[in-house]
Order: sequence, then structure tokens, then C-alpha cells
Amino acid sequence: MPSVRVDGLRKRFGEVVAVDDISIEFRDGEMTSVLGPSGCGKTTTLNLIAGFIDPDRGSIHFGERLIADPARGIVPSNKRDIGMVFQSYALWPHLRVADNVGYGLKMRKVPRFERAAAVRRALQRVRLEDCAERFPHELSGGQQQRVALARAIAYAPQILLFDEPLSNLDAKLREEMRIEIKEIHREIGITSVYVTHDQAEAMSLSDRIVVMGEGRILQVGSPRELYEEPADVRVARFLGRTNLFEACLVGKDAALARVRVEGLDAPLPCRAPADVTQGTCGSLSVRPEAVLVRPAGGAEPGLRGRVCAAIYLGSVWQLYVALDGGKTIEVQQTAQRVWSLGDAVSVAFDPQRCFFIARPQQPRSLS
Amino acid sequence: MAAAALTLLFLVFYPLFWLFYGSFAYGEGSFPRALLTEFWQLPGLSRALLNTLDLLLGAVPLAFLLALPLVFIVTRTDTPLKWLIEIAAILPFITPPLIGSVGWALLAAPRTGLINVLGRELGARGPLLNIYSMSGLIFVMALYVSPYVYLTVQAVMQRMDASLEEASLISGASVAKTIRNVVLPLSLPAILSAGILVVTRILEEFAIPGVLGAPSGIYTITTYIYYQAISYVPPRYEVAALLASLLMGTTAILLVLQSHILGGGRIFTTVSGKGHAPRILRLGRWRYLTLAYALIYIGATVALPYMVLFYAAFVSQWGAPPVPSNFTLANFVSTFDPTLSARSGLVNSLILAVSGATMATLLTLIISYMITSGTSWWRSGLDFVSAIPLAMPGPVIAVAMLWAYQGEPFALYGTLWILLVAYVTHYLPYGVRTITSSFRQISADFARAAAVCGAGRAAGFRDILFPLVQPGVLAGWMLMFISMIRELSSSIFLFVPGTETTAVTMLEMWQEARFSGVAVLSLTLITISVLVVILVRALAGAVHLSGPR
Repeated sequence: MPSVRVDGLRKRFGEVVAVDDISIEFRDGEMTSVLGPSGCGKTTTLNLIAGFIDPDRGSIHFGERLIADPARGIVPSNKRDIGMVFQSYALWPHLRVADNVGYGLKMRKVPRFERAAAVRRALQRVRLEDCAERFPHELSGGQQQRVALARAIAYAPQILLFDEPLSNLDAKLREEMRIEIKEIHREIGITSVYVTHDQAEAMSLSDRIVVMGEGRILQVGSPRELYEEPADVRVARFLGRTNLFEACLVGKDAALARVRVEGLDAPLPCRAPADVTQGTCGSLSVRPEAVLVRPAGGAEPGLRGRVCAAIYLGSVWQLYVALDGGKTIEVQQTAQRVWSLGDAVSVAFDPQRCFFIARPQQPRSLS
Repeated sequence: MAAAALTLLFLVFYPLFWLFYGSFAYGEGSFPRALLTEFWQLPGLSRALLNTLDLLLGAVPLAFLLALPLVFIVTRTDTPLKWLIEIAAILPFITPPLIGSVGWALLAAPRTGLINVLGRELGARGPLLNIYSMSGLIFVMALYVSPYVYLTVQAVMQRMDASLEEASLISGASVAKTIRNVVLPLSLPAILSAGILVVTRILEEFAIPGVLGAPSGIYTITTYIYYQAISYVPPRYEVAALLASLLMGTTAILLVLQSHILGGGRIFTTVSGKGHAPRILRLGRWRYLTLAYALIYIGATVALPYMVLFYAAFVSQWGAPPVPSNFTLANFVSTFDPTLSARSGLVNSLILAVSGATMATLLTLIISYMITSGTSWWRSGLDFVSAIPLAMPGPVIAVAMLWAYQGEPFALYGTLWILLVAYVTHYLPYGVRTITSSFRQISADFARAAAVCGAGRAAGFRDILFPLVQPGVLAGWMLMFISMIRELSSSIFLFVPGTETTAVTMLEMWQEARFSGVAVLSLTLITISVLVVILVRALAGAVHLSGPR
């Protein structure tokens, strides 16, 4: 399986730069999610890879094969050997399920008999072999989604593209399909690009995640890297919840760094990226589950605060604590004790789960 | 594709160029001065323009007066037989104005009209009604344009969210105030747009003033161009070109005005598709009054003219009592006598309508595909160019054709080709409207999915897009066929002996007072149209079975 390599890709629509000089490699056989809020350029990136629009600058390679480069030529969509699952499913309403799934094979001039077998295999894979003779409108939303997936994999393309394929399904079905897609991807191992704005979907499905914002790539990494070591406050905010403090790095040793946070006397210990030097300013990201809350008056040192909202969610408490400095933080506590409004508390952060994010000096280019 | 675009550009701009060239040719070099002085002095011209104005001032208000109560009856009352009224209200729309005016002339011509014949027998001294007058013209014209008012306003009233009215009533406004402050302002764009549509229809209408006005010397702008310029001896082509340009300019301005009124989506944003149905007024005993009104409307627009046409087509002698022994098929035999022009006229019309509709459909299919899938600058350009013929009523197209295709290099005059070219040009916008809207209903993802599967442009069009737009294509073909087979307003300018069409033969027979022949041809035309509609419906149904949407 070839990888998908994108170099210095740029696309403008009128005044808006939808994709601004991005470079990334979607590794072969991996499922990579492109994650970001709407308008971040993720769908444009996918459309550029699919060939629905042409880049203004930059190039796209599938393995060693040049796919698109305005200076050197553009391979049309139908010659790229890709499969795609659309948000709207885009099942052709006038064709039966079997004809929808078999269309790519027909275009590849696969003989009728082999074609029928391949269609059957693809439909078996999505557990819809009984629906071959139906029309799309006779199927439920989830079934239509699976037909769309079968159509995309039936002719064993080199690259598989997903454009928010699950956003039209209800929550329960979405979770089932997530597992199913992951399972199928493990079996066939096609290089896949999965565009979504749903962080849970991205984290559960993909080997790596590309987070985009305002037409640029903010960070690339495994779900765990992105959650625990966000390189940008937008990444920290977009993946999960977090509390951000203005902070400057004041010390560093092998294990931990220390940051000074405005309004606090003592520096706080935390983790920081290896390349950050003393004196750098930025944000300290403290995940809600990294906060430890105890009733005030204990012996341990801590910040003082008061519970200003307490929500019982079953397995956990979601607390909002107003710190004495004036800032309100979100806290998640396992439900071992009862909290109520106005409780005076002492708050401590787990240094291993606090991460310092340096403020970017200039637009960074990542590869 | 490029060939289709070039064909479109040629079809629209070549005659247009000649039309303007012809206009400037007036006065042989002393163009502006000649226009200001001699032109307006042409005998009868100012009279014809005033007649046109009279016709507008009479027929537009009358059309509203006829249609608005009907809209109210259908959308807001519990009048019985509403389904029938709804169908009947658009029937005059389907009836060609030529046939309607012939029907009314047979009813109310001063001497021979059946109503007047009956009146004489009952002792009336003069004619009861004279349809060959300005009031007759206004009456028939209003009947035949009222469906445009009905359809436009009814669509808005039907979709109007009743909660808007209820909100006003709850706030303490009376019913009258609610109508004035809520209902009227909301439906005003629709009413204005219907008004403009009706004005353009009246301006371009040829058959009604041709049948009812011309015999008594009442000319409007279209009949003036024909009788006083084109069939004048010697023909005054420059005068025709100037008047056609004038007509086209007026129509263009009106259309631009209309698209401004409808533009900005005002009509669609204030009147959402959601909300609940309007309240139905319980009329009690009064509902029979509203029913009576609806029945009279249907009688005047559809029932009476059709009844008299049936009578005229089958009766052995005009004026004979309608009893079975007086009915015969002899009129059909004599009308379609091989030596007469009616037969060849029908053949010509069929050839023109089938080939014209087919060629126009193929052309508009490609153009519509380009409009909906091309790059933006050429998309809007083609869209605009294909709408230009909307501002060219039949007589305008015909005069432009006469200028463009009379001499080399395209000497088509005297053949069926010039009629074919005129028809295709005239009805292009209809096809483009119908087929582009079919394309627009298809999500772009369908074509993208085909491309991803490996289908090139041609294969994707053949396998995916075309099957999906096929119902729209069939509908477009049908619309153009029906319009072409009854075409009069440009054919009358372009035919020569031997290339008559059915509508032209009808007008000729009318002038020779061969009423039964005209009635026979009317019924033939209607029958063919109905058969085609049934056939296309059946075909579209078959398409649906093979692939429901």
C-alpha cells in the first residue's frame, strides 16, 4: 500500500485561504484522522486528495506516483484509484445495492462473474449480503452507510477516504459503525484518511491524528501524544477539556519543569516539551482529572478555593472550583465523597498530568 | 460541449445582431431623425400602440379580478368540489389561446356567434355580444392570462404560514387589519411578479388579437408588425425590426424588474415551507355562491369554448340544433382532404414539433450540464445567454429570423428549417429551466462518487447523471413539444405556401370562415397534446419502476 504525501499544499477560495501550506505524510496501511472544527480546512484537504478540486500550489504523491502538482500535471479523480465514503453516502438512487457496490469494478472492466463474487465479498464484509437486490431508499441510514463503505472497498483501492461518514447517524449507531470501520480497516489495511470533527471518533479510530485549525496543521501525533502533550492551546482545547493558565518556565531538570503562574506565589511543577528553554512563556494545561480536591484545613499544601458548582454524573463528580486568585477551574473527581455548593477546598495539581505549552513564536511548519 | 455552447451563442446572437442591424437600417442612413419624425407618423401605428395600452389597462385588472377570488376559494374556504376547481383553474393555461379565442368567436361573433344566433331566435334585435371589439379582446385576454395570476398567488397563499396570521389576530388586529398588514405585504412580491408576467404575456400574444381584433381593424403591437409591416406590400422589414426591438426592450425591462422583485429570496424567506396549514373559513350557505362563481369561471374559460368547438367539429351545418342526427364525421374527412393545406400543415407541425423538441432537448441537456457543473464564469454566462430568448416573444424572434436567414450565408427562408431554428431558439429557455433544475436537485456527491469509482466524465454522465435527470429531460421535451405543435406567433411570419403549420392553417381557415375546419384542427391539436402527455407519463413511470429515486 502506498502512503499519501502532501507537500506545501495551498488552496484559496476567493479571499479565504482554506488550506495554507500544509505538508504531511499519511503513512501506508495506517488510519489517520484529520480533526478540527468546521472551517479548519480538513474537508478541503480531503477534496484535494480526492481530486475534486485542484491545489494552487504544492504537490500530492501516492507512494512514488505524482498525483497533483499544478506545475507538473494533475491526475483526475477517476485515475487515482481511491475509494471514498461520503457524508451524504451518495448512493446512486437508481441503482440496486449490488450495482452500486459493483460500479467501481465495472469501471475497471472486471468480468461479470468475478465482479459478482467481489460484490458478494464486499457486502459480506459489511454484513449486508441479503440486501444486494434492494434499492438504497429501502435501507435504513446505518445500512446505507455500510453499503457506501462496501462500495468504497469493493475494488480494493489503494487509498480510502472518509468524509465525516458517521455524522448523519444517531449516537448509538455511530459507536457501532466506529467499531465496524476499525475492524474492516484492520482486515484490509488500506492507507486511510478519515476527516471528522468528532474527537471521540478520531481518538477511537485512528493510529494517528492530524489536528487542523485555520488552514494549517497544528499538531500530528498518536491520540495519546495529542492528549497528554498538546503542542498548541487549540489542540488542548479541542481534544478533551482543560484548564489553561498563563505561565512562564522558570526552571527545568531531567524529570520536571517548573512554571510560574500569575497570581500564585510558588512555582508549579509540570512536564514540558524537551526543546523549551527557561524564560519561555505560554500556557499551562491542567486536565480536569489532574486536579486533586480535598476539604480545606488539611495539612497538605494547596491552593484555596470554593466549590461553585457540583454536578454528579454517576461515575464522577464534575466540580467547578473558584480559586482565591479569581480563576474558576473545572475538576473531575471520582465519586467517593459528597460535594456541595460553597464547600471550602484545597486544590492540588498532579505534575505528571500538567503540561506546559509554549506560545508559538512564528507560524510553525510541521512535517 | 464546446459545439453546444457555440450553437447556443450562434442561435441567440446571430438573429439578435440582425434585428438591431435592421432597426438601424430604418430611414436609410438618417436613422435617428427618421425615427423621431416619420416613424411615429406611420398610419395606424400610434393607434396600435394605444390599443395595446388599452388592452393592458383592461385585461390586467380583469385577470386579477377573475383569479384572486378563485385563489381565496381554493386556499381559504370550504367550498365544495374544490379539487375540481383546482384542476379547472389551470385548464385555460393548457388550452392554446388560439383555440380559446376561436371558441369564443364561435360563441359571440356578432352575426354567426351561437349566443347571438340564439338571441335572435329569442327575439333580440341587435347582437347580444360582440367579441370583435376592444371589450371582447380584453375579456378573452383576461380569461387566458388569469391562470398565471392564479398559479403564482395560490402557490404563495398555500405555503403561507398560518401562524403569522394568527399572531396578528391574537395581538388584537381585526381580520381586515390582518389582511392589510400581514397577508397583503407577504403576498405582495408574488402579486407584483404575477402582474409583470401577465403584462409580458399580453404584450407578446398574437393569436387573440389576430383572431378577435384584426377582422375589425383593431391592431395591437404584434398584429401591427404582422399585418402592417411584414405582409404589407412591399414588406416594411425595417419597421418590423424597429417595433420588434421596442417590444423586446420592454419585455427585457419587465423581466429584469420581475427578477428583482423575486430576488433576494424575500418571497421564500418570509413564507417558509414550515408552519401549519392556513385556517379554512366555514362559509355555511355562502359556499354555494363561491361554488357558483368557480363554475361560471370554468364555464367561460373552458367548458363553453370546448363545447362550441365540439359542436362545430361534428355538426353537419352551422346553426343546426345539437341533436344526434345532425352530427357527422364529414368535417374531419373534408378538412384533411389530401389536396388541402390542413393535412400537410399537420404533417409539418408534427415534423417540426418532434424534431424541434428533440434537438432543443439535446442542446439544452448539454447546456444545462455545463451550467450546473462548469466553472463559475462560464456557468453564469451560459445561464444568462440561454435566458435571453425569454425577452424575445414569437413575433420578435420571427422578425429577427427574417433578417438573419433570408439571405446568404444562411438562406433558410422558404423552408421548414427557418421554422425549426425559430422554435428551437424560442423554447430554449424552457428546456434549460426544466433541465437545470433537475441537475440542481442532484447532489454533487453523486458525480464525485462516480469519479472516485473510476468513471470518467462520459461514463459518469451516462451511468449516473443522465438516469437521474431523465424524468426532467422527458418533462422538458414534453413541454417543448406541446409548445411547438401549437406555435403560431412566429410561424405566421415565417411560413410560405407549403410550409404552413397547423396553427397557421387554422388562422387562414378562420379568415375564410371555415369554422368547422378550424374546430376539427383545434380538437386534433388538443388530442395530440393529451396523447403525448399520457405517453411521456407512461415512459417516466417506466423509468421510475426501473429506478425509484
